Amino acid sequence: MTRNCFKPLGRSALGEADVIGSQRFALTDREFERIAEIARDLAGLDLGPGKKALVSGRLARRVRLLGLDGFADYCAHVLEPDAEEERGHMIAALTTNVTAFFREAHHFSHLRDVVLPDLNRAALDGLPVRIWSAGCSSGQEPYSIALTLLASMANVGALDFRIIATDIDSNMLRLATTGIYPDDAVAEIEPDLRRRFFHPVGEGGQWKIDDIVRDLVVFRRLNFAKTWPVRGPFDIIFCRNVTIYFGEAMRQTMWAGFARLLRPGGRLYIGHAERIGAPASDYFVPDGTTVYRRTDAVCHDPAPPAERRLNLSITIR
Amino acid sequence: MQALDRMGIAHVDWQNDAQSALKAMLARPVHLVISDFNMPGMDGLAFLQAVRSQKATQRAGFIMVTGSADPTLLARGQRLGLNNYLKKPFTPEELRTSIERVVGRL
Repeated sequence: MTRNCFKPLGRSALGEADVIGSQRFALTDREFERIAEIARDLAGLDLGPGKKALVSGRLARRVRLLGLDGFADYCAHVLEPDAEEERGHMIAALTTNVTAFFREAHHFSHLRDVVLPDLNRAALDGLPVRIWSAGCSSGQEPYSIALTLLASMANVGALDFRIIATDIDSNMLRLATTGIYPDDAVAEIEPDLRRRFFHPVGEGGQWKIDDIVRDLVVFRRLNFAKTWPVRGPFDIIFCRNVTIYFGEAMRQTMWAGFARLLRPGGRLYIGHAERIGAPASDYFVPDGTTVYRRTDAVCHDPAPPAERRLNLSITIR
Repeated sequence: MQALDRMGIAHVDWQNDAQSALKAMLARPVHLVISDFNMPGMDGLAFLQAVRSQKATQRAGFIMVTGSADPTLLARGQRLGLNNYLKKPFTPEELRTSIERVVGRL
């Protein structure tokens, strides 16, 4: 499989580490368990013993950047009340995923050939069409969905299509919002789509996605372990290569959450290494390779935790 | 302002001036104050100062609504502990963004 492994721009911002040095830090089992515990508390991540090398590799750079002596210091640092930003970096480092436009192309052909014909008709009848890209990283997934919509019918912008794109990493979201990508990221997009929807910017081989595409997508931060900032119902959910970071209990919560938010007949696209296990599998029937159709089965799982309720004082005339 | 209903807001206490808002806040603590700068009696900056000076209210977030977004006014606000501001007129989305900057994601 040829993969367009675009290293997102934001990651290279962390690249200062390369000049700081490549000193290695030993990660003891105790430190690893501590980090796994912190990651579970912060974001519901499941870092089993097999992830020790990944944790050591991904976080060594953070330890170096902060000028700390090792992982023990890092654990202490990341738990300090004012280390909110570092906690974000930590979760981002542990969950970063390569992404590309039209990654797993068969999902987008399925979307175009099997799902969109009905949805486009519904949209032409004035109905809202809602699509959720749940782990959108630097934006290629939601923009690929938007491009598929735009290629499939003429007046998408005039109809009620919206793509909600969420990710846990606010740096990735910032990057996604700019809609600017380097040459190698856009190189594998079909030439016709590239000509219509990407415009060169600056001098260094950068491309900006057209506002027509950009305006179909709304970006929001999401931590699956907390309240989900989405409402539904959705016609389509893309959640690819996200559940791989979680344990089975958390996965079941996610599948049930998707079942609750998807309309009957709605589609769920998941990553090639992911499977929907029982009991949530009652809500979904296979509809292609790693594509599922929501059944009519009523979702009995308890709703996610209530949103935080604020009290406000307003004096505006 | 019905936009607020869809944002996970439990209670909104509407007041016409700073004095009554302060009184209401002491009776029922709030997480966040959204206030005009131009008000009869105490203006927005004086209101902010009053909110920051009382133990029961000083931890509330404060968003100032202004017609002008005058830099001097905002600089003074910032020194007094202003968290964010909104320039009139504003959209529900701008309101939401502003609130989220102060209290975190809704």
